[in-house]
Amino acid sequence: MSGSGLLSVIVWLPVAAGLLIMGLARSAAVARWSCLAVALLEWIPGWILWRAFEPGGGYQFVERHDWIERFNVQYYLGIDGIALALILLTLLLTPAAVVAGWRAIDRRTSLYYGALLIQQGLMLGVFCALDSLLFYVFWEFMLAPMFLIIGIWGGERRIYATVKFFLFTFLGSVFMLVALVYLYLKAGSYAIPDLHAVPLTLAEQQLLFFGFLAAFAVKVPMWPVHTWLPDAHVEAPTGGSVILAAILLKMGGFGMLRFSLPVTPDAAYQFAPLIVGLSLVAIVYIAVVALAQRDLKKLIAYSSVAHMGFVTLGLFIPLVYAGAGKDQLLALGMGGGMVQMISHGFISAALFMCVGVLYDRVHTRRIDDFGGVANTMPIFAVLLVLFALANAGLPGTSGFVGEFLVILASFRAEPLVALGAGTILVLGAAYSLYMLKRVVFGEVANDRVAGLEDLDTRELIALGGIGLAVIVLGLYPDPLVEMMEPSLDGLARHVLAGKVAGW
Amino acid sequence: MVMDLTSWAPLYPELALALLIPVLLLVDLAVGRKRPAVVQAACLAGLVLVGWTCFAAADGAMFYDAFVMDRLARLLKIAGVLMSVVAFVYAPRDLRQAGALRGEYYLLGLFALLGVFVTASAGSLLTLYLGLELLALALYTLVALQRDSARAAEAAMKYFVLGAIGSGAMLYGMSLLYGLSGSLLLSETATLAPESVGAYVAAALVLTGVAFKLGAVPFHQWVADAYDGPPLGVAVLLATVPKLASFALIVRLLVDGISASQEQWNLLLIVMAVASLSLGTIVAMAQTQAARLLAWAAIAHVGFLLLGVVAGGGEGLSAALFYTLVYVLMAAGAFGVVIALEKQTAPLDSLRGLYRRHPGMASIMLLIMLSMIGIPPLAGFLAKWQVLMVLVDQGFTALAIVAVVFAVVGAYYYLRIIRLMFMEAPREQEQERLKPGWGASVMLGANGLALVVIGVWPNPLLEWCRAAFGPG
Repeated sequence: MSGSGLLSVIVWLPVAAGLLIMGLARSAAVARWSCLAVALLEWIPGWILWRAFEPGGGYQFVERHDWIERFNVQYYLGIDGIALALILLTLLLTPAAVVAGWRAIDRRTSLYYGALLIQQGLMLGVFCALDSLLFYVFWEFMLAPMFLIIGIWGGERRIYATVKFFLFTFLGSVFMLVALVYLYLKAGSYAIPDLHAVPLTLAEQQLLFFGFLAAFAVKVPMWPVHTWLPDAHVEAPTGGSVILAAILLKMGGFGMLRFSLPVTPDAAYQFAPLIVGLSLVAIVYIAVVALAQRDLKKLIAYSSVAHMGFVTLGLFIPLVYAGAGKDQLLALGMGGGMVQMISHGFISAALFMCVGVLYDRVHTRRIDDFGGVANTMPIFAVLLVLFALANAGLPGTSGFVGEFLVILASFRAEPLVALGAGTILVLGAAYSLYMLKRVVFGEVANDRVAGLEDLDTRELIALGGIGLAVIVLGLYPDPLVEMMEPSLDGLARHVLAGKVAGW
Repeated sequence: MVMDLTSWAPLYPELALALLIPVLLLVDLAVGRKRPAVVQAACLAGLVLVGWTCFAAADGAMFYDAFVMDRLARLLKIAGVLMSVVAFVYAPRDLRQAGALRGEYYLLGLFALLGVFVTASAGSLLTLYLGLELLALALYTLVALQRDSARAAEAAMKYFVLGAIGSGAMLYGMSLLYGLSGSLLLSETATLAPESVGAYVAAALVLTGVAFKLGAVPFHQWVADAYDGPPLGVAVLLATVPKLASFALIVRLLVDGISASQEQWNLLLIVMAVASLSLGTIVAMAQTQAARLLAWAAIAHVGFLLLGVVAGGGEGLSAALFYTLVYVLMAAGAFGVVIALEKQTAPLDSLRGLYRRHPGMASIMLLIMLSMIGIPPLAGFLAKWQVLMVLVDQGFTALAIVAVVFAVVGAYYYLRIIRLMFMEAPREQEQERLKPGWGASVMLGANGLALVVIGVWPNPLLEWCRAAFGPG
């Protein structure tokens, strides 16, 4: 348990720096550079965390202090492999989000960059929290900076989008709060490990399961509560979209792994077919919807919903399976879901940044306004093609690994489901290639495209870095998988042991 | 006969306050016309002393148990002094604009505070009623303070007539209680057999009176006018200090005074709480005036804190107490910001672009609004969370779900305020930077900071609230 205090540093450094930037930064340049510096500085503790983490060591870097004594709430931080993977994702992508707003954010810069850093700190807090009330604090306060980021720097319908985002997610979360309160009264503690252990009857689990589902399904987002996402994405500034798609959505999947599955395992087992069904709708129907979009950001937003459908599918499909070796299958499915989350984080961030690159230059996102971008922006075109194909699950990219693992798990559990899920490979390729054809290839469509300038150094480093990550993860996912494997195995055994006898 | 002062120890705060009022009257007579700031300073200095006596006063009962100084009374009195100080710092700016900045404002405010003190310490029906009427009469007059304003006069009239009906109902209920039990002492009315028809009627009438004072649905009609009609400087007092007396009234009269028939009135209380929560939340969405929005939001908040009383027991009451204390803090801050806008009637639109006109104030208002929504870790969240815990604990899970759903609906209008402040440009005629003055600035800062501090480190306040109702 070396490095105590490290998690606090990781969580609170950006929050403190964000407040300072908000209050003190007088010029745009100071705000930008200090924000970027802090986001990069976070890599140092992140690197230490990664090197010192021992897979299979349970919760590590634990910090535990009393907070609200009367209700046994603790300031309790600690991470396992699942949390670490998402923390590293957050740390890696935040600088990209900072860079994404470099040109576009030209007013109230100190507020923007401050909010961005606070947002980062709160997201890291969600991944680190081992006390469910602390988890809820981070989870809920996160709405505030995002509300401002979309509402102040967003597009035309930003007010509608941001209010919808806030109310949707808030409505989901309050049900989780009631569930947590119920669990506290049952377990006498808000600590997550205690909640994992507390015995619950099936009837209790069913209600609690839906309490949690309300919060997590909105965040993932699952069909049919995904409608806030296209609005929020389209209106958010590029940096906000990157944070939303790459990290915020992962909270939903993370919450399922932290709460839904281990706290209410029997209800999860019982309702797995429901979740699988909803995931399939998301994958197939939303992918078709993506095909019909005329706005680049909307297309990527819908594609995000479809891909997050893969995550929920991976988490729940093994529970449908009745045969032997179920724990391995569950670990496989959950691992697939996790890899999919990480990979989608990189890819969606990159795609939104690509749209941002185009938007910064010509101030439109309509697919029809482009055509032949490859002629004027060759380097950008290469990267965009890479990310679009990775999004479609091209082997050799990270997009393939996650989808493959989930389809594999589905196939062993229920081949028909795998068939349905497999359509994403076709549909994903369809909307990605169709988009590429209209935007990247062909003759130069108009004067605006003719006047485009290729990536500058700053954009090239950010996008190139993400591209590298996508390929490395696609070719050599082992470090990521090994980091998470023991945690996932343990979780799978816990889930399958159940809390109610006689299943 | 030499008076032994120590035997009066439980009464120190009331004595000090009663002494402060005539002194202040003299100060006002001497310098009030020329230097209203001196009156304010004298009033605040006097309140600091009164606050000190609240700590110094001993626990104990006086006048044959008709007056009780206990932990609850002490906490409410300290809170009352604090909120009066806050209101007296915010108010003058607005009152000066309204032409109503006179010494009477402070004097009536102090009388109202004395009413709160007496109500908080009531041990018998008589003391309770005395305290409440003292408070109410001072408030009626305060609402009418701006004599030449038709709106203020209308508000005062409505408030007075409806308040008198409420007091009448309560007094009738009290007389029935006295007739049935033969005693004015709350400890003796508590043992009244709940089966008799008289006890039912008495409980219903008493509850009506309580609902009037609280502004709970269906006896809420006066609230919006009373907040919106008078100058904002009066409204800030009206929105905060009397709430403490209302809470004392709930505890002394309902919980202590007619505890035997709790099963009967609890059902009525549930209906009132849910009705207040829903109606307050929904009507607040349609408001265009800041004061009216805060008034309807107050009705919704009252509904929420009544749910704590519904759950009952020491835990439920301490949750409701915590809610009350945090609520008055939030309401005071919100009014403080609205007053600093320097609009006598503040439409919500005057909040437009506040971030550009005064970033600090907009940030404080942001905190207050997030706290009102119930976003952790701000104080407002802890208040709601505790109520939820006692509700679920007592098996009222359905009520807890209703409560959180309305909390989400309510988020809409608080978000609208945040939106106006941060996402809209200031109106044409309101471009200049605001200068709230150093006194109000410091107080606003402290007010916002208090919400964060209570949220992040709630242990002391939680402990005081628990101790107010528990042994040990």
